[in-house]
Amino acid sequence: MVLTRTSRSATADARASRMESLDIEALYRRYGDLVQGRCRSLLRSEQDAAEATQEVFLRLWRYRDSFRGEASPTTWLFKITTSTCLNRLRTRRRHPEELVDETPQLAGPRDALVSEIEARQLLNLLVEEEDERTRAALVYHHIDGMTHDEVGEMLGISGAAVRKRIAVFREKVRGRLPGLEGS
Amino acid sequence: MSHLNTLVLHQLRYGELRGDALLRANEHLAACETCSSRLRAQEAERAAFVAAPVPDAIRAIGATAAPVRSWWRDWLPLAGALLAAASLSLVVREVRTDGVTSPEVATARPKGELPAVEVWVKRPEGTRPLREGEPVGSGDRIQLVYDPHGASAIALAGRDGSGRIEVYTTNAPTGIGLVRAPFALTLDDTPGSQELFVVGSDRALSEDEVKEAVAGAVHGARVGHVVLRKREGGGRR
Repeated sequence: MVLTRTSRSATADARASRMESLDIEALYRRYGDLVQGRCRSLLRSEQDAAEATQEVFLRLWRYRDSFRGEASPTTWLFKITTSTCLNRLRTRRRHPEELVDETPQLAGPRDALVSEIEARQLLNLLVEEEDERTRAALVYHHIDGMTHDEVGEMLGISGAAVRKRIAVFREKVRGRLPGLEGS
Repeated sequence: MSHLNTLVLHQLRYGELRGDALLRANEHLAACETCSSRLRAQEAERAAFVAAPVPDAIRAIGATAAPVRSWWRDWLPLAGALLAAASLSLVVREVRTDGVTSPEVATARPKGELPAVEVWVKRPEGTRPLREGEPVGSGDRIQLVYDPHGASAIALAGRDGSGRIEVYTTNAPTGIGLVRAPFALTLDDTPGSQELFVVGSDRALSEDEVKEAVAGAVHGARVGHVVLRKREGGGRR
């Protein structure tokens, strides 16, 4: 079999060789917690997380030839899982009849509660308006705590481009949600 | 203090950090209770996960899904003759009801840039890929998953046993890799096969253009196609 490789270390080759013998159950046992935890954290629905986990492992299994060549399997899975979850969130938004009620149980006066929920919904809508890369950049930067350069590496763009995308989004939020300014 | 990002914590747990990166991470953890606590939370999640059984749906993947990259690479050396001979059978791979089961997902994996299509079935026991040869029945909820292969616009359509073409959407999500259709279809009791189409194009097509593309007129469209055959008697298994 001909494999196209750009750069692979001896460690990656050894890892790839070990993975030749892995089956889907072994892969799930090794990496399932990463995928499942990520899905739960982004989707906040047990059923969605279970389905998304299944979807990620199907993709892993189908593309296992390229997965074997990865220097960092966790990075590959982290990206694929994030992309899968963002697709699901977008689908959920477009088909609200299938939405799971996940209204957060917040303490505080009713007016403040309604206002916070509305603000979150609007923030979600604003995120949904963004393209796939910007949404991923927002998640990597604001939820995962990656620097602009680290996000750029994940997305295959420069750190400066990431900074610009996030700045444009923040400007948009400031215009529509002044109460969230600085958050 | 800049904290360790989530991925670095995973990489640390999985032994993927080396050299300076590993040193920096360990030094940070020694001084940062927030990140130590996040790492402990990941480890606790891991411990709970290891104790749980592997879901049947995951086991089923190993028995059903063939590796994509090997598939075309294995065939590449014979491309000229084989692609010509196989082009028709690649465009449509039928889900049969004749009881002959093949250990592959019910999927159309067309050559070239045609969108690839997978079919998942939602049943009370869970959602999982539909196996080739596995029958479907009225009441089954069908979830399409497709790879747009670079198409700028995707439309989804179906043709039931009576030959009626229905365009479900002219604006389905595109993206890199596998994308879920934005809805599930519930099969009705119309007799005969149910065909599903994923139509990829470089511009958004109108409903009429999608119908024409499904019927065979091209309109610059690339059509991925899968046929579901309903079981005799129609109902859910």
